[in-house]
Amino acid sequence: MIAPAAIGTEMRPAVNLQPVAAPGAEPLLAIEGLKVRIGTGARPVIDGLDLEIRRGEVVALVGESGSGKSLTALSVLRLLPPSVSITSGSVCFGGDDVGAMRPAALNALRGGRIGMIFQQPLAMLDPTCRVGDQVAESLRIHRGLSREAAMERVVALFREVGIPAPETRLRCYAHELSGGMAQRVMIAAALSADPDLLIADEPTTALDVTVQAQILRLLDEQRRKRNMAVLLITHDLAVVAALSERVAVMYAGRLVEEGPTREVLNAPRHPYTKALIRCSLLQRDETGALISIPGGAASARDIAAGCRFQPRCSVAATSEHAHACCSAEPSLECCSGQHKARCWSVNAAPTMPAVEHSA
Amino acid sequence: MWLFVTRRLAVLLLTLLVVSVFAFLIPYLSDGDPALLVLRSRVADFQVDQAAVEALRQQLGLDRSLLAQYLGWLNAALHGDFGYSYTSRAPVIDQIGRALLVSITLAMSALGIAIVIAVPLGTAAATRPGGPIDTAATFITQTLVAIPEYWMAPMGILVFALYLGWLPSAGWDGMSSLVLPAMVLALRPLAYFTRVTRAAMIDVLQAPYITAARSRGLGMTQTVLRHGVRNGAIPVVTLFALWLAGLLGGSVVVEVIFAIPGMGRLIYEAVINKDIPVLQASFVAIVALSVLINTLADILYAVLNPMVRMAHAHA
Amino acid sequence: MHMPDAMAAPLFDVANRAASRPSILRRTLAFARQRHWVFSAGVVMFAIVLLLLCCAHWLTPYDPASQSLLQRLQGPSSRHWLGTDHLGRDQLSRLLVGGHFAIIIAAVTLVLSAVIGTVIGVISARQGGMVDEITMRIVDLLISFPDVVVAIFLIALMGPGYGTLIVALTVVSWTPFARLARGLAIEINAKSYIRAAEILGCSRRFIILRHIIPNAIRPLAAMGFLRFGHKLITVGGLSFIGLGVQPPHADWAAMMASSQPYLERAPLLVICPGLAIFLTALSVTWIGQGLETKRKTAGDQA
Repeated sequence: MIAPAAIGTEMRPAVNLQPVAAPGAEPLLAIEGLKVRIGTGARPVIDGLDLEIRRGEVVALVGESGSGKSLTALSVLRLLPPSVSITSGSVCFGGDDVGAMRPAALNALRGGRIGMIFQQPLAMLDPTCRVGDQVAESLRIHRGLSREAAMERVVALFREVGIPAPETRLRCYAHELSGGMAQRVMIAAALSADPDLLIADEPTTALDVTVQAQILRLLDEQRRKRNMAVLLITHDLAVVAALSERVAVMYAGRLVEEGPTREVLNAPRHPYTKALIRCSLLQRDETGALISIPGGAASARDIAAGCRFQPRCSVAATSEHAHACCSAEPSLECCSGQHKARCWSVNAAPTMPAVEHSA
Repeated sequence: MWLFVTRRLAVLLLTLLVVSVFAFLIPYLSDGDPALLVLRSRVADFQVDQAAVEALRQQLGLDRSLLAQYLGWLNAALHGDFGYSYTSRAPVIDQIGRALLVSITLAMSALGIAIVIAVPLGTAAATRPGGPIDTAATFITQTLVAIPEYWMAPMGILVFALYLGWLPSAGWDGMSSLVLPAMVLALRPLAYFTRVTRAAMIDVLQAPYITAARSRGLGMTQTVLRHGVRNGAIPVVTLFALWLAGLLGGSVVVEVIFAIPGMGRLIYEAVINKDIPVLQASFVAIVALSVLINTLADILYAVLNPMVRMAHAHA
Repeated sequence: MHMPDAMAAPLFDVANRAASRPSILRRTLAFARQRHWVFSAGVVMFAIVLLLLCCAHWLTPYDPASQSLLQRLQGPSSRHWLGTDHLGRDQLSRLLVGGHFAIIIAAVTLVLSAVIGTVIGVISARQGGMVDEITMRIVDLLISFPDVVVAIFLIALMGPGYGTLIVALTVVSWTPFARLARGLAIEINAKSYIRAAEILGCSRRFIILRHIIPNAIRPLAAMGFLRFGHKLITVGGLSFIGLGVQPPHADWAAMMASSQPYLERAPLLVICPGLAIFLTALSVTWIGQGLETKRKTAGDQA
C-alpha cells in the first residue's frame, strides 16, 4: 500500500513548486459530469465525475480498487472496452470535445497530445514485437519520422528515461525486460511525441519498492522538464504526497474530496479520506489493533440512498446529521478555498431531508 | 534459437529412425512368409516351388539376422530404393514421388481455400463476439465439422458435374478437376480454422498491449494488423501444419471418389493388393512428412513467438 | 434438514448427498435449460436417432436384406418410400438398420480411447518429469498423423474385421483424451481450492471424488461427444472404401459407396444415407459444443 520509506515520515507534499495557472484560465483537461456504465448495469460505475487539470499541473486521483479510477483514465482517451460505455458527460481537452472527435483526430490525440502509461508495463508490450519498434510506432505516427530517424530518436528517448545500453535494449522483446525497465519503455513511448498531458494509471503498483521510487523520480523529472500536466492515478498516498499538487479522492464512482494535496492530506475533511490516511500510515487504535476501514469497498453499482460512504462511515452513526447521511447524498462543496468535500458533517445538512438523487 | 532448431531436428531424426524400424517390420508383422511376399514382387506366377523360395531366401539375405537385414534395407531406402511394386512393377520411389506431388497440390489448394475464408471470417467474428457475424460463423463451423466428405463429394459431383456440367466429375487433369475435390476437402479445416482464428483473435484483441497500442495513437485497423494478426496467427500456424500433414494421406476417401492418383489412393490400392513395398514406402513417406511439417511449424512458431524461443534457449 | 458441512461430511455418505440434492431427472432438465439451444437440439436429434435405431426391427417395412432384381433402382413410391437400390432392396428399411454397426463401433472405440487416454494423461501429469515429457512427445507425434491412414495401415497389417477396426481406431484416437486429461489434471491440481482442501487435511480420495472428478467430467464429456461425431465419420469413411463394416450388414456409408455408380439415375440412394450420417454426427457434435461452450463461459466468469 505504501512505500516503507515513507512510513513514519510526515505526509507532506514534497513538490508544490510549479506556479498554478491563474484561476479562470482555460483548463487543459476538463471532465464534466462523466457517467460510465458497464454493460447494461442499472447504476453507472462512474457517476457524474467533474475534474479539471490545468497546464503543467499534477493531479492525483485516489481511491480503492473498483472506485472507477482507471475507467476515468480510459474515458479520457475513449479507449473503454466494448462492454463499457459513456452514458453522459463530456471530456474536453484543450477546449476540444473529445467525444465529438473523428477517429483520425482521436488517434492524433492519443499518444500525440496525451500520453498514457499503465499498471502492468510487461503486459502492455506486445510480446511478439521488439520494444524499440513499439516506441518508434508512436514517433512515426505523430512525428511522421522515417524508420531510421524514429529508431535514432528512440535511442535518445531510452537514454533520457534511463535505460542503460539503449542500442541493444531496443532490440529486446518484452519478456526480456524487468518490470521497471518495461515501465521505462512505456514512459519513453508515452513521452515520444511531447504530450501536454500524461495519464499515469497506477504506474508503480506492480513494481518493487526500490524501483517504484526510481520510476516516480523519473516521472517527476520529466514532467518538470517538459512542463507537462500529469493525471496520476494511484491508491498510494505516499505517491500522492510525493508527486501531486492537487488530489481528488474517489469513492464508489464519485469524487468525495478534492483540493490542494497539502491541505487534503494535512487536514482531510471527508471521513473516507481521513480513514484512508490512517490506514496508509498503519496507525493503531486504542486497543492496539491496526486501523482499517470496516466493510468492503462499495462499487457504484450497489448503493442505497444517502451518502455512498455512510455504511462504512465512523462519523455517520454518531453524527447529528445521521438522518441526512442515510437519506440524501451531500454535494461536493467548498469548505475552504479550493478544498471541497462531499459530506454532511462538512456542509450544512439540510433541515429537511432533501429529495434528490435517485439514480 | 539455433539450439532450439538443432534440438527439434535431433528429435526429428530419432523419430524417423523409429518409423523406419516399423516400416521395415511391416512384412514380418503381416501374415505370410516375407520370402514369399518378396517372390510375388519378382515373378508374376504365384505358384513357386519350395526350392526356389529357399534359394531366394538366401539370395535376399533373409537368413541373416534381423538387424543385418534392417541395416541393408535402411541403406537401400536412404538411397531411395524401396524396391518394386508388386502390382505395377515400377520402382516404388517413383510412384510415391508422383503421388505425393498430387496430394500436396490437393492439400495445399484445400487449405488455401480454407485459410482464405476462415481467417477473415474468424477475425470478423472476433471483433464483435456475440454479434450477427459471430453467431453465423459459430453455427456454420458447428455444422461443417459434422459433414462427411464422402457425402459432400457426391453432392458436389451431382450439382456441379452432372446437373450444371461446369466441372469434371472425376480424374486428375488440370485446374478444373482440382476445384471440386479441393472444395470438399476444405470444409472441415475451414471450420476448425475459423474457430481457432476467432478464439485467438478474441484473446488477442482483449490483450492489454492492444489497449496500449491504441493509446499510442494507432487506429483500430493498424493495431489489428501490426499487433493483432501476428499474435493471433500463432495457433493458426500450428493448426495449418497439423492439417497439411493430415491431408497428405488423409484424403483417401476423396481421392478414391474423384479417382485422383494421390497418396491416399496409392495406399488404398496397396492395402487392397497387399503391395508390401508400396505400403512400407508410403508409411515412411507419410510419417516422415508429417513429422517434418510439424517440426517446421514448431520452428515457425518460435519465430513468431519470441517467448517460446527464449524458453527453449534456456532449457 | 441438516446440510452436512462439506469438510466434515463422511466420504461416502451417498444417502446424505443424494437427499441434499435434487433428483437426477430434475438436474438434467435444469442443465438442459441453462444451455444454448444448440445443446437441446442436439440432445433431441440424438434421442430420435437412437430411438429409430433401437426400434428399427419393428419399423422396417421390408427385410433390409431381401433382394429383388426385378425392382432395382426404383424411385420413391407408396410401396417403397425411398425407392430401392441396385439390388432391389428397400432403401428405407436399409436406412433404418444402417446405423447400427457404425454407431456401436464408434461408441466402443470412443469409450476405449477415452479410458485409455484419460488414464495415460493423468499418469503422465502425476509422474511429471521424463515420463511426462516422453509421453507427450509420443502424443504430439501420433496426433500429427492422419488417423484414417494409420487405421488403414493397421487394418492392412491385422486383416479386416470388427476387432481390428476397433483396435485400429482406438490406437489413433486416444491421444486427444490423453492431452486433455493431462491438462485438466495439472490445471485442477494447481487450483487453490485443491491446495486449500489438502491443507485442511482432506484425504486424497475425498479430494478426487469431491473436487477433481466433478471438475474434469464435463470437459471430458464435451470432448467425448465431439470425438464421437468425428469417429462416426471416420468409421463411415473406412466402410465407404470397403475396409469398415462388411456386407451383408447394411451400413450407411457402404450403401453410399455401392450406390455411387447410380448417382445420376438415383441420387436419393446416395443423399439419404449421407444425410443420416450427417444428422447423427451433427447431433452429437452439437451436444459436445453445448457442453464445451458452457464450460468456456463458466471459465470466463471464474
